Amino acid sequence: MSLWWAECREKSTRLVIGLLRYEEGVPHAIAPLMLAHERDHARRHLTTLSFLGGFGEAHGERLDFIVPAGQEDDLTPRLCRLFKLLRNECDIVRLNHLPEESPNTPHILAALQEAFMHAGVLNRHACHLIRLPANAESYAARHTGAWRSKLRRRRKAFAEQHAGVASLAGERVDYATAMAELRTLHARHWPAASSTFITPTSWRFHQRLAAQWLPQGRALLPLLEADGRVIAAMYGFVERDEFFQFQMGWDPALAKISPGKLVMRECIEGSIRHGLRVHDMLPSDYEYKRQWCDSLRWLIDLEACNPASWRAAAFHTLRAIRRLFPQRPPSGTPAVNELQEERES
Amino acid sequence: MTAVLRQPLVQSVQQRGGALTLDFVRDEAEFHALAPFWDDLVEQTATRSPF
Repeated sequence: MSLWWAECREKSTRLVIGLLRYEEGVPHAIAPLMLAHERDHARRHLTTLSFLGGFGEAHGERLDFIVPAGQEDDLTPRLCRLFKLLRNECDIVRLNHLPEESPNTPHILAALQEAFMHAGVLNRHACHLIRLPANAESYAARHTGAWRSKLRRRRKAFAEQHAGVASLAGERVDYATAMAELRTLHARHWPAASSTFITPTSWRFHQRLAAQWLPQGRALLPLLEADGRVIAAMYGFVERDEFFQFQMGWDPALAKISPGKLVMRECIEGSIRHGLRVHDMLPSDYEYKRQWCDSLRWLIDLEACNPASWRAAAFHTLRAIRRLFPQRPPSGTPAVNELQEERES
Repeated sequence: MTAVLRQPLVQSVQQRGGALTLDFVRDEAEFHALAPFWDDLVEQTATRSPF
């Protein structure tokens, strides 16, 4: 979080981290919050109380209060008293990407409903995930014979026709080069205008994060090399017994051997080899995620308005009016299938 | 304040008698000084977060 603060905060952003402490000052629960202004046209005039790292180009994907497991019913309601204390400092509250299954969630929602107006769930985001079995064979057995056969053929073509090699960043390719390869491959599909991953701010943040976390094994970057060059890369994070698949890139010139699918397979098998319990593909509901995954969980965005804020009242009213009229789809940015090779191969 | 802080204790509120206070860190230096406690508490949470 301190790295996010150093690289990604806007000038007007202020820290407001709620702490529950014992008398001697030891923190026992943390509400990682900030007061900030979103760039969104309709919200830029609102002072928003949000999770630290809750919006912006390199926002966090699963954000929550930090409370020891099993003590949420005791501690979270006490921590949530901060909403009343901070109410007069903000126009709205916007808590993005809160895990719906978190034991903190009902307490946070109840506290918002008590201290604010119009408190509720603004958005729900589906996160596809795999409950990992003990070995790769058991995972493969969850799919049809045709699926396994197709992947086997592509893996054979990768190995035999292209001298393909799979590795992790740091084994054959150094970390910085691997990240640069990921960036290049990612931009082949999602240029900077359509990907928040490679905007200057976000890229600076992830370069620094990867430099710290790849050597520690907190981030993993599986690579595929074919004919002596990197053709696919996958970047994700390990948090205790879970892997979070974050960004990928692959060479469209080799779509016939599906480098995207092959690197996903390597990545999932890597999660199994590491003894992880969950492989999470994070928000966004793409067909390919449904094909690879067998479970679903949700992230929710909570919103609430300060009843004393005329800005919040105006924002809420105008949005309600706008929603009465048909919405035009955004122009200029066609919907992207993250794994376009599905159509090309 | 933060210079004298000790490692977080894995004890419930009941075990400690519930003597807890709520306050805010708004200062960057205090935020950075929280890092070791922050990391230890993150390890104890029910949910996992990538970053």
